[in-house]
Amino acid sequence: MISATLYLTIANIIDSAQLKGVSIVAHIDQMSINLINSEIPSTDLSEMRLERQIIATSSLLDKRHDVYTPQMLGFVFRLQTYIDDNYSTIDDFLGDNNIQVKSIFADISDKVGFPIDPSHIVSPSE
Amino acid sequence: MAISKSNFIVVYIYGNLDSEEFANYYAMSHDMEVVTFETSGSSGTTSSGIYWQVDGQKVGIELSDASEILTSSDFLINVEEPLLAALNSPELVNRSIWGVILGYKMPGGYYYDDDPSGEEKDIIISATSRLSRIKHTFSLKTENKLYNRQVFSRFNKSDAEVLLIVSRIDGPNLQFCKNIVDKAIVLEKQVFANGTFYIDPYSDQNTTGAEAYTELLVDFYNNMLSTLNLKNWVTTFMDPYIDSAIPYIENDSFVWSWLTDRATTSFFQISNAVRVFFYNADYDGGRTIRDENGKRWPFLSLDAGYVATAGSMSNPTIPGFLNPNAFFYALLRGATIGEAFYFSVPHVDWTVSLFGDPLVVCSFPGTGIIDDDSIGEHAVWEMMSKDLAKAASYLYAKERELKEMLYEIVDITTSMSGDDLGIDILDILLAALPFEGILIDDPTYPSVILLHPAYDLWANNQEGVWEGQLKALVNKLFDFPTFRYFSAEAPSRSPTINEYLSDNGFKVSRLLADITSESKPIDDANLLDEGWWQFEFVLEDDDSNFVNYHFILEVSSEEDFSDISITKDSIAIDNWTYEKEKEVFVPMTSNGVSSSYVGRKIRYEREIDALISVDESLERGTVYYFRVTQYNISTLEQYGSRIFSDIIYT
Repeated sequence: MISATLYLTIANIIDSAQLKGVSIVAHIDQMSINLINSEIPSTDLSEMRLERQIIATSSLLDKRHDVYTPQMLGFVFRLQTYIDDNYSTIDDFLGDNNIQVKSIFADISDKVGFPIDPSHIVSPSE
Repeated sequence: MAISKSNFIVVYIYGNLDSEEFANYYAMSHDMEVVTFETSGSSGTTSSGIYWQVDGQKVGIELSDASEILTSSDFLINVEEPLLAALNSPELVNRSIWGVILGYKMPGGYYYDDDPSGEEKDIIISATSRLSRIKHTFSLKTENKLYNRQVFSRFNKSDAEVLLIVSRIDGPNLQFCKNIVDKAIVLEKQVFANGTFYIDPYSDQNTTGAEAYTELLVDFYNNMLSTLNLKNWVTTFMDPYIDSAIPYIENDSFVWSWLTDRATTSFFQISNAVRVFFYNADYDGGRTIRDENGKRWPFLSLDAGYVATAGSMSNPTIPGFLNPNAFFYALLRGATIGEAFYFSVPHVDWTVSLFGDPLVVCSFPGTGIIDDDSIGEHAVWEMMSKDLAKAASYLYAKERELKEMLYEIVDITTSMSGDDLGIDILDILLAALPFEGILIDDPTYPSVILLHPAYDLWANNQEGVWEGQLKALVNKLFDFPTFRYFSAEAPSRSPTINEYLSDNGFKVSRLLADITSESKPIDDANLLDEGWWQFEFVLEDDDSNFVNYHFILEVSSEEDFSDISITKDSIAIDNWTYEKEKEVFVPMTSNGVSSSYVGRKIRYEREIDALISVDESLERGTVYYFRVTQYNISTLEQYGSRIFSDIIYT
């Protein structure tokens, strides 16, 4: 059986890795904001080409990192299934081991059919 | 909301018909609100028995002494106390009064000493300067917090808490004052200044202060004057012991000169241009403007049709002279003459006075109001390269985390660890896809469930994958200078990325250099070292007075700063820079950075010196927390801290 410590480590890594998607896309979008707010005329051909590429890259990174990818959903599904099969429920496992997971991990878990009781989720202020 | 006529009052002597007529004339000319006292209604008498009343945007004060220069106690009793009472009346509090025009016959200043000698050495505090700080206790020669504002914003409500815009319209007779208003209205309709700018940067003074003021004027002449798009005429430097002077002026709109302190009306030849602002920096030009035979510049320039001028009631010292860069920096950004004056006068509660109409706005031919918010086109390239590098750094960190998770799962998958074998167990596992052959054969073991999906997750985020996701954008960004600067007028025609980086002193992250096409390698000299970092923040206004700031920076990998890895004080100045001009950073000095630079950026760059074993490099892909505390150099008072976080992107 996977240890509670390792489970929490994995859950936190998943949360952190998924959270990075927000920053990745935000920095690409910031490029666009800076370019628009610059002295470079929006009618300049090279500006338009760069702007188009920024938008295309932002869209790509959004799909691959900001939204939950099939690989991310698949991994969390397997992890929670393993706990569910071998321990009883996810909430029992978390409660018995006094574990609180972070909100993004909890949300992914919910998306793959394993909702987590709010009492086992770290509140935003913590 | 920027200051407008609705924020002004005009002050007259209650009971003096000429003085009140001028107030009415000014108010009507500017379409200000004038109501009869019966329908308005704030009035009172001070404890010293001075009556005052508010009529719309007019304030009448029943002065017992209307001399041009009073004693300090008479000024307090006759002007300050009743005016403050009027400003605190419900009617004017509701109006948000940010500016005052001292009208015809209102006193122009007072002797600082109770028993003046009547000689030149007497300090005379100008009424406009003192009343600008009427909400504050008098403090001789106070540094003006609004002086030389580097990040421009129009005078606003918070500025009005610091000082009021106060100007004086006075002269030998009522018609003289009305003429000033008429000229202001002409300029208001004409909008553009169209005459010659006369400038005299040189003097016969050889003190350090005099050299500094000449340098300031020469700098203005070299760098800002041309942006006004006006014809100009400049005196010639002849000898350090000869005070160069402008012989006469014609078709003039501006004059900025210094020292030669007396003249005659013949100096002002015929002008078809609108005369906007005249300033001669001297020691007593503003002492009187009521003498119809006066030889001082403020009187002469107003008499010649200038809309506004400035002058000193007594010696302001050379560092107290107006700064032309600050004055025209403000005018170019849409400020009124009144705002421009108070952004360019170094001291208040002091001797320098503003004369004329403060509400006038002046535009310059062929120039729009300058927008300071737009980012320079080279600065934006560097900013975009940093943003892109930060995105790459998050991708790098994400892969590193998922790989770490894979290791954790590998460790529970095998009965042995990589450390035991002295090899990378993950490499073996990945080389042995699909794993099962070397895994413990137990269906309840987590490896059976977790290893495949963990591997898939990592594989979809590994280096080659995320670099591929960024490659097109990196190439487009690196190609941008080549395609953007293709014309012959460009500083460097169609520069390669390496030429562009060298020309601008930019460096890029190795994370990006590793992604770009192999045909366009970035020279090592143009790359930032791994672990290099720079922290940048904006100077905040932490004190109600003008102060010089230094900074304490603390860096921690912990959000709660339980473990601080780096602490730096900018008093040491090394590796600290500040944004002296927009997007131009210069090394910090021991004087720190003054209130004038509020809104500008401050930077600290990591220190590395092998000789003294200092290396402040931080770990790539890791988010650090930066806590910055501004403090007052003089008092060492520390203000509230600000906390930022950033990823190391190099």
